[in-house]
Amino acid sequence: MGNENRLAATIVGAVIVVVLQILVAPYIAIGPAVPNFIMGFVLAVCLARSAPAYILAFVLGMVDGLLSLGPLGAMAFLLLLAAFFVTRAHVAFNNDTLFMPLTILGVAVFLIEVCYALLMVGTSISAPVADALIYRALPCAIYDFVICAITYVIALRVYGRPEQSPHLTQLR
Amino acid sequence: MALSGQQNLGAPLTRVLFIVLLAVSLVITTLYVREGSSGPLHAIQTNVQSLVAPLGSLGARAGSAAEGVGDAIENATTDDATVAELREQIAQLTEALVEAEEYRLENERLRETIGLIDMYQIEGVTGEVIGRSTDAWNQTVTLSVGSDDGVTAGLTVMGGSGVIGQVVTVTPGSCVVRLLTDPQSGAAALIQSNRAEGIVRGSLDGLLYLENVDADVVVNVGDVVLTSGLGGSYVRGLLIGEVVRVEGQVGSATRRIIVAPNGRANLMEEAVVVFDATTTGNVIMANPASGGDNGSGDSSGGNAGDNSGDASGGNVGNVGGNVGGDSLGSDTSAGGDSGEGGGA
Repeated sequence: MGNENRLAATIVGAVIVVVLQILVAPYIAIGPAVPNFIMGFVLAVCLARSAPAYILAFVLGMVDGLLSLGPLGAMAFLLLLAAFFVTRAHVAFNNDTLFMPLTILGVAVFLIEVCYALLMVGTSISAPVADALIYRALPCAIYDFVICAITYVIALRVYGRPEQSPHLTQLR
Repeated sequence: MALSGQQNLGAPLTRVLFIVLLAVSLVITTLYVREGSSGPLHAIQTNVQSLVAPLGSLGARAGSAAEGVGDAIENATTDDATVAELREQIAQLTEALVEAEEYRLENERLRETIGLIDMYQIEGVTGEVIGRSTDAWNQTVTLSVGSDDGVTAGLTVMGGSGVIGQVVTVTPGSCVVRLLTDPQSGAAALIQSNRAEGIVRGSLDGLLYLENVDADVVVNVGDVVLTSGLGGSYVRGLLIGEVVRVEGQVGSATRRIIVAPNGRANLMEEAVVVFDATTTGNVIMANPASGGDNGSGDSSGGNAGDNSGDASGGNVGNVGGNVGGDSLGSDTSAGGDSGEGGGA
């Protein structure tokens, strides 16, 4: 797939996940866990393209903040960091199996949720950190991981096999 | 610059882009946390939510339909044992209904006898629940009424049979209500039977806790909890729920009181934004059991108009409307009834 087609696919995908987040996510919540399609899409795109999609992470992170009542910019910050580390980890540990990308996704999702939980406890919610982790971060991380894995498989089909960009190859 | 256009940039530029975006998002987060709820970033967030509210209502209709389909499937696959069980339940409920009707008539007679007319007259506007929070950290619902209908931030919102939360943001056509079960919620409350005051707080585990109740106050399962109106954040005397569990002994500082909320905020169902709640009663009896009443307005002058609600909602007047019923000890449904009446 050429660069322009990839760009078009990314924009269409971004619009779809935002609509899904508004229309679908609140109604498929399992207990306290509301899925985050936006996070899943950003991480999946970074892994499938094997390149950090910083602008995508920033824009969708801001959109996520605008749609919720959480701190604006916090999710953008976390997604930017995740995009950076996920891509580096993928370049460093990729062994052409599905196991490694899924492991990276799982760790990234868990860390994002934990960091967001700490941020919420620190800024707006007066609750014990343990409660925040047990009742929100953990269930959300599990749900988001499933969303991420599905989105990653779809992204692989859309983008094709990731190409190694020259500057990422230097990171090895 | 395109969304993923940075693959065309060199590595140094990509790094610069990364650092700049990281710094921008960090600055925005810091400003957001520091600015308070009336700041420009909060205003942008509110406006965006008002734009997507119509979309959210589409999702709510689909979600409501999906719930209906789920129920239909469950009903269609019901086995004989379940049908028999349901028939038995219907018989029990019919019996309970007859008994409840007897109590209602008795209650009506008693009220007439002592000259109490303590029904609420709730002034408010009824809206439909058209959306839910898109994230896991905020338990909010969106109602289909907004500032065009007179709704302002801080007003109390009632579901079919009790308080469900408080308006936090308002746009011309919709408003966002933070539910009582949200960990960021807190409502000044009192226990109907003994007038003990406390604060009902939401929590991350989804339960409502009644806190700050004096350690020596006896709290029993089944005690009804009402809004006290203290601090002006909620209209006084509306039904919150009832105590379902008390962990710990009287006198223990670590006692935990769990309250089951009466109000529910189901999709596509109505909720009432309360502007004002008043009583028409002219005789209010002091509660014989109100040893710790502290003159909170439920004795003789209780219905004279305690406008403490003005502090937050601007137009929220309130009166100790339930108090006459409290003294009878039989008015547990007064808030719910009046809520429905006010919405209608």
